[in-house]
Amino acid sequence: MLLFGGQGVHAGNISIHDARTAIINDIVHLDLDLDLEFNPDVIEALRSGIAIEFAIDIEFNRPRWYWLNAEVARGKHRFRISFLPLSEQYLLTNVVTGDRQTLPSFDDVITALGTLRSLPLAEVSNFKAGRKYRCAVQVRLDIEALPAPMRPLAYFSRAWRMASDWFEWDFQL
Amino acid sequence: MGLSAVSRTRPSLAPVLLLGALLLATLVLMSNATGDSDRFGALYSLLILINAVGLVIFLILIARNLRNLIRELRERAPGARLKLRMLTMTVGLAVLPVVIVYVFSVRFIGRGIDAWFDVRVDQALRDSLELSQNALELRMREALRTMEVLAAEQPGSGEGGLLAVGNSDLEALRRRAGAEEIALLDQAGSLLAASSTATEIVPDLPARPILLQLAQGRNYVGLDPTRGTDLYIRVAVNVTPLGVGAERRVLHGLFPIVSRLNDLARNVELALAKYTELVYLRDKLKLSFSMTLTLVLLFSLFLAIWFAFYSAERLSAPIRDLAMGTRSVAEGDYETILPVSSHDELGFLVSSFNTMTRRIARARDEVNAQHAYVETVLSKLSSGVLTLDQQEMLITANDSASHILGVSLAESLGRNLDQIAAQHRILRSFVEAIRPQLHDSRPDWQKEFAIFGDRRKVLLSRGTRLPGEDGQPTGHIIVFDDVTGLIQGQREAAWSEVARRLAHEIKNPLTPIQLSAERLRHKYLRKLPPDQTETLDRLTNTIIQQVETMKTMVNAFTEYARPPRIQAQPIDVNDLLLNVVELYRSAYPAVRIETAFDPELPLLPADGNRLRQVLNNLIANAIEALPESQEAVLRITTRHLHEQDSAFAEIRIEDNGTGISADILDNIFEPYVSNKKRGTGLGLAIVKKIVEEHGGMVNLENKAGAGAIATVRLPLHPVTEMTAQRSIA
Repeated sequence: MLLFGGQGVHAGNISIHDARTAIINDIVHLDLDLDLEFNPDVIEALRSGIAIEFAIDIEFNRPRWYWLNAEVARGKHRFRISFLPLSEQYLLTNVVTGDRQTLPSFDDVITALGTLRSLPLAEVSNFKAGRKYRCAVQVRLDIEALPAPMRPLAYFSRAWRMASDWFEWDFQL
Repeated sequence: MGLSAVSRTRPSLAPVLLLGALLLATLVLMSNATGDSDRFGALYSLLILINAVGLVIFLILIARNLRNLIRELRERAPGARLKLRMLTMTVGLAVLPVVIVYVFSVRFIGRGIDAWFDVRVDQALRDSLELSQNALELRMREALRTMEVLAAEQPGSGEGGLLAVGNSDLEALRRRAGAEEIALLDQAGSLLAASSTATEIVPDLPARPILLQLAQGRNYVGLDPTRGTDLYIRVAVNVTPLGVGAERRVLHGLFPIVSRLNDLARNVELALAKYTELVYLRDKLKLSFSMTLTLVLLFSLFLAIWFAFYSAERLSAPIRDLAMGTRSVAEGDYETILPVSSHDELGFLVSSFNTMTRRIARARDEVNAQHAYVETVLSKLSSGVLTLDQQEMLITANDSASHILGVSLAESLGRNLDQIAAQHRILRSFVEAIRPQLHDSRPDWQKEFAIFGDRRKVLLSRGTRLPGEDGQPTGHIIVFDDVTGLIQGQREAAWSEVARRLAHEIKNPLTPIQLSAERLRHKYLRKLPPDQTETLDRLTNTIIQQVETMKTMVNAFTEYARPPRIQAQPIDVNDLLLNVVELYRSAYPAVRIETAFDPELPLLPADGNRLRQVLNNLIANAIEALPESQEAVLRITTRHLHEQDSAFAEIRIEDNGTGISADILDNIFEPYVSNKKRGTGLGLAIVKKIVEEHGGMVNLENKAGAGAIATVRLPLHPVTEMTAQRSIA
């Protein structure tokens, strides 16, 4: 298995520091290192009981010189952060797998979300050995997951517009 | 009759109604989504987008309508002002109530949302939470102490190392502690051994931050909703190694909370979470509701304005059509048919208008047909017909008028009589003849007069005033005929009759009278005594001479009555005159005859013998008028004349004699009108007859001093044409 590191590009207040693929039990997994900066407005909303979701979109493309790139596989992960007032802890949920982590502080949330490990993406059978693929990943705050009354404002507010640029690297079996 | 229908583009109602229905549906969904985020929450942003786009489309429709209206107002299009008035009225009626309802609704919504929140409720919830936290904290402290006691026993850190600690040992510890799950981990967090009552195969392990806290030497206790919805107390304590170099371990336990307490705490937490979320969303909710209301307001306003435009257009369209139709009828276009779009009073008005224009068009066609008929009749009339307005401006002239007057009157239409006379010299005498009649108080008049063009024409003219709508005269109509030929024919016929009678009644007895007289003389001259012979001789001679004279006179009449039979040949008038003049010079040596001939005079188509007779008669006439006492002078000139389009040969014979007495000047050319004591009285009549047979004119007038001038004008046009004209006349 070959790993190619990509260049992290400036992405507002989420930037993808590094992204790697690893194959475990014939499934391609993703390791993701993120830098996250939250606006105080977002933290206030979180502590007021608003759940915040981050969406991670992953695409595997086969480059074609004669035509548009062919899409080979596509993956999606969602992480939800919510505040538990009783225990004053944060709950980080992987919406896709259902895994939950209880975290004592918001810094722990940032740390946990900043080092995502072994996110299952696609089966190895989707890929041909020896062929080069292009992977791309983007992480963004999903405004549509917010309560309806917040959405119109969130779309026009810099505080809520959190999205990384697409982070690209080459992948080969 | 080709009728053109007025085409009209009407804004289509269906697409706008569809758009309106769509917007209304999205607004209903949006109002639901704002209140209850579960049902239509996912669609909320899409709904807002659809609404915004719909409203923009409405705005564009309205803007387009407004632009059209402004353009119509600028162009002063019919119906535009009416449309504006209807629009202002409808919009005014619609906007005011909607805006009032909007303002009040926004205020009520603000107050309504504020009423959801109460400081006491807030405090009660927070107190409940704190109460729950205190209750749970007691349990947590207990659990921590229990775990610390267990840790002090150092499970797994005794003799035998790691392997000595089995799941069975932990099972015993778990039972002692009353935990649901107990696990022993190494310092990296890897599982060494575990015991659990739960069915899960994989034990629930502490997260990385907890391990970090343990590494710093601080034990951890916390509430955790990790497993399902139930809360657990998670405790993680360090197991301090006894031996030097021995590894630190972690004892991790999950303690269940009493079911009742668990439920209560969860409820409190949920309620508080919901409440704080609502508090946080309070302003956003207000804004959201206000936005939905604003969208509803804008939708209502735009729909109302658009309908105002639509209905104004619908109402004003037939009125505009009527205005345009009336205008085109005023401009003389009766072919317009307006579309009848409704069955109300307006529709009735429009269909009445259509009926009216159809009838007008039919009447106009009838009038046109009548007009064409009259024009055809007029153009085929042999009489000339002119109409003049009050200012003596020529309004109409038929073909015969142009033909008779010898000028084209088509280009003189719209000019007054003075201008026409100045343009055509030939019409001067015509204008002078009819003008006094136009100013006469009598409505109808009739006059016979002559005009002088290429030849003399006698016109019989009748006129009358054209009555206007109110009975006041609006102009004149003049009808005239060329009666030259008719008069000449009548005269000739009369004189021919006289001549024929003379020949018949007088000439026949003359010969027996003469013969009888000669015989009387022959028989009795020798038998009578010489003293009576002389008397007989004188008397018979007188009879014979007078009979001879009578014969000459009768012959002259015969000559006059003779039908015209001109043998036209090219004649050199100068030569002919020279011959005649030479005869008179030798016969009258006492008379000085001066001649001045125009050498440019072309050959004239004429009958030589007749022309010679004319010259003879005129010269003889002039010589007879010459005085015997003083020097007698006769002056004869020829000229080549061009007048209008015609060319003439003019012969003038002037004498210095006694002139013509004024009482006979007008009728000098009639038979038996003479200045002289001798002669048949037919000389000048014959001159006139011959000159007119040649299409010419002869005129005799007194000179300023003493004597008279005879002027003969003979046309130089071909004889064939001349005779043709005469035969028409």
